Amino acid sequence: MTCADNRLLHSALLDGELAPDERAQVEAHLATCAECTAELAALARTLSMIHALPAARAPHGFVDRVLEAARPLPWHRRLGRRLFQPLRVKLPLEAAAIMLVALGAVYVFQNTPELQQAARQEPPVSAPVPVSPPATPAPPAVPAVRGTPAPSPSAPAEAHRTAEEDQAGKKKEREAALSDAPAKAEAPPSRPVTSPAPRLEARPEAKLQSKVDARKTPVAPEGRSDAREAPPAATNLMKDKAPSQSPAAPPAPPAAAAPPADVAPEAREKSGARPQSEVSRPLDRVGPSESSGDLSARARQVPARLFVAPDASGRLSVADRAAADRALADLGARLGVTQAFRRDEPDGAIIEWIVPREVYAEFVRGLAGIGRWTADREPASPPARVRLQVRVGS
Amino acid sequence: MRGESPSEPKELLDRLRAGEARAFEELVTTYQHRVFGVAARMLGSSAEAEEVAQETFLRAHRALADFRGEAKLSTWLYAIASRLCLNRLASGEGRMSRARAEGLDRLPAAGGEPGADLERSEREAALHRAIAELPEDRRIVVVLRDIEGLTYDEIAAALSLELNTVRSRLHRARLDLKEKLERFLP
Repeated sequence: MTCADNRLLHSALLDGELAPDERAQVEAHLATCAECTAELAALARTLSMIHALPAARAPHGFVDRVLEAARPLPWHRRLGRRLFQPLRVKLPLEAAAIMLVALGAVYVFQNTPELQQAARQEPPVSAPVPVSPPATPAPPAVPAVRGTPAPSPSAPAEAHRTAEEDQAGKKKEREAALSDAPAKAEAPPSRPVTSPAPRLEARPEAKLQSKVDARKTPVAPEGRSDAREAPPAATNLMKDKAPSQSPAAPPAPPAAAAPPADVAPEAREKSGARPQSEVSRPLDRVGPSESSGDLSARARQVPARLFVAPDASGRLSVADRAAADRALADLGARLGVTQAFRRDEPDGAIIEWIVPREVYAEFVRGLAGIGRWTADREPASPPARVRLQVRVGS
Repeated sequence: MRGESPSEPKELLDRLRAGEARAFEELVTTYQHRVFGVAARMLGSSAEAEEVAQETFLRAHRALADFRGEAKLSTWLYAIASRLCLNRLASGEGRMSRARAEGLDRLPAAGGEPGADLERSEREAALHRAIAELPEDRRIVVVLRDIEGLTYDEIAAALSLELNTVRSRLHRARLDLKEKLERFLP
């Protein structure tokens, strides 16, 4: 065994890790080699130094920290970690995903006319029967409305007032309506028990009314309180306006005309001078760009009942809108159907007709003759006067 | 094995496998200084050493179900700690620098005598520095053998090395240390 071979085994010798035969060979060489023996002694001293090193000790509280870290996290923290960690990666990804979903929703809404129409339309008015007091069942609409005499001295004047009144008068009403708003907000508590029925009934109409107005012009801040107060006005308008309409003009349908006859005068009395100002309110919110003539014309076209969802609706696709307008006017005149409302939009017009039940089927056939007619909603059993909303477009 | 060498009761392993919280506390209490010592000698920083030691116990806690008991618990813990240290050093996360090696002098020492003489302090500092300057693969062998007292077989098992590799690395590491510490040798 050479000295080099011998020294390679010194460490193992000192550690007692040599096999017996290796150990015997190393020890035999050491017995004859002073240099290797000195080398081994130096290595042994080095190991002694290392072994004399003080042992490192874990810092105080180490065990507690490990046990704390080993404790399972509550589920919400585990979920939070899984969802958001690492923040730098997941947060931007999640924000991007939310943006994508939002953009997708907007895109779908903008490209789906049905959704837009559904957003504009109020859901069908629920039957007012459960709201009305059971002791006073709703009488048939037409006789009730027509037969209701004007109880207060101011009522006849209100009933016969139309939107054709001069602009100055309208201004006054507008101001009155605006100044009425705060007072009206406090009025409900003093209302008699019987009055809630018409209020509840008419509320959806007011909402839709405010929506229609909002599409026209930005609503003034006080418009909100107006919109909330609109329902009684709409109800009164229906009751008051009906007798003044032309014979062809439809009476208010049952859904809106349900308030019992004994409630009507009371409600009207409570509203005092309000009805007229509220009648004009929807017109007040029409954009400033519209002339007074437009306002008057619109006032003639827009009965309060308009704001209730129609009984039937559909789309009429035509090639020539002007020709279709003429054909529709002819059809209406021929069958004695009244146009209750019309709104022109860039991509078409929304027209609402009041169609007597007897001629409803013929009227629809006539529509199909004018263009491609697609019915969106059909009444299961048509009322006496069917409110038919037609969206005319190319 | 250096320091307290508790027998590794099979009972502790059984309790650990049964998920007994008290058994895990016992494991940490028993082996905290040894695991921390390996990490401290390898990384040269108390803060990093504590981090690695904590991670060692947490990994052991999670992997207890997979521990087959073929090796001793202590060997298993040393294996985890060694791997974590070497990975950290390899990734450059905690590569020990000469400057940081000075920090080893301030490692908390068991039974530190306030009246230790200057020569001893100097010798210890030189020894820390010499160990810190060893290549990582040799350093871990010296730490496990000469500081923690593992057998060659245990080191081979913990580091997944051949026995001869352990022997040669250890011998070379010791020769390096002997050269650097020659002036302190009596």
